[in-house]
Amino acid sequence: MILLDPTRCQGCRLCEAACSLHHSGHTAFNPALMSTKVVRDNDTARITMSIDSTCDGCAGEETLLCVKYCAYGARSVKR
Amino acid sequence: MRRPGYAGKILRVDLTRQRLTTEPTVKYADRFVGGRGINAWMLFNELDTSVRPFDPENMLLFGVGPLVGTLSPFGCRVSVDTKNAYTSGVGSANCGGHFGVEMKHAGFDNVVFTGRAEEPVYLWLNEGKAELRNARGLWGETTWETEREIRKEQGDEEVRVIGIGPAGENLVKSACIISDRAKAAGGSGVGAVMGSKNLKAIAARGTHSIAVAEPERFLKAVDAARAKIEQFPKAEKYRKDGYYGVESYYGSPAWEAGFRPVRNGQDDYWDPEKVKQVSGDAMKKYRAKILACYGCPVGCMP
Repeated sequence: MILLDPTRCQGCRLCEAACSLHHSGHTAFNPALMSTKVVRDNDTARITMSIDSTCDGCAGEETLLCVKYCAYGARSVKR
Repeated sequence: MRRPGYAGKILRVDLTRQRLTTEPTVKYADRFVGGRGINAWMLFNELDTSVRPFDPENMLLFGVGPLVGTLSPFGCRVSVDTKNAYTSGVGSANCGGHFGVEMKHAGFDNVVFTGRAEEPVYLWLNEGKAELRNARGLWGETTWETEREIRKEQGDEEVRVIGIGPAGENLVKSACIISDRAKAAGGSGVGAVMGSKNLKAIAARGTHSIAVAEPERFLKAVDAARAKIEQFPKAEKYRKDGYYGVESYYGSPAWEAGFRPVRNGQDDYWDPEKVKQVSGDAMKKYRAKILACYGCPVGCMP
């Protein structure tokens, strides 16, 4: 299970890019193929993170890509 | 044909005739890389040297490079190129934020503006389509309000907007083009040139994909770049605290050499005590959150 911590997230959306790279079979970056979403509200400075049911736990990858590419420690794995 | 790394299309907007045309990016991508490369080549070839910065014939180009919108760290910059409003030489500015990525997902690598609109307009890019929309209601509003209004008009909170405020509209030469509240393309008078074209903003939204040519090699290069960033001694500090104007220069070799951009360059020296009052912990209490630009693993911006 992936734990999300919106208080640490700064909304760089590298996790979204990593997620779409996995779902496209390492061929493209495509917002239509993302299982995870980070939305920043510029007015309230609030960040909303979510993962939907299309997440397959990065099947076939060595590690969970969104966790690997998060530089802020906003995502961690709970076993 | 689409080239990996590029969205595929360049949009040309003639504001005088309200005419929009597209051409493939490949035409230029063979010889020049990225936003600024292609922008500069177009300026060099298509702009007459006798044109003055605020003439309708002047060109205003927005461009993003092949790394924008990918997993590559810092892949977010938008390059804005035009005739320099100060010197009439070459003018270039660039900014971060999330607009560049959204412009690419909307299907456009470069947007080229010529002419001058009769009434204020903004350009709406969505899923490969482009449209000039009336911005009379937005004229005179700040960049924050503009972003809010356009999002409300399109009914989508994830529309990304880049645009000018009252300074650019009134041709103030130091006016910036602002995206995501605090990311500014500020050099060369680009904001004033945008204002002279009666162009208030560009808004983008889309889901076009950006292809990768060699994923294995690309990911290896990304990992190597990320490892290098972690070696940067201030990376963790920037992530936690951000930094504020003068603070980032204070005590650095640039500061010692005389580069002291205090109060936007209006003062050339401040006491260390005074610098402390506008940096670090003194400013931190006013901050709600750091919001990083797209793809930035450091996130310095307060």
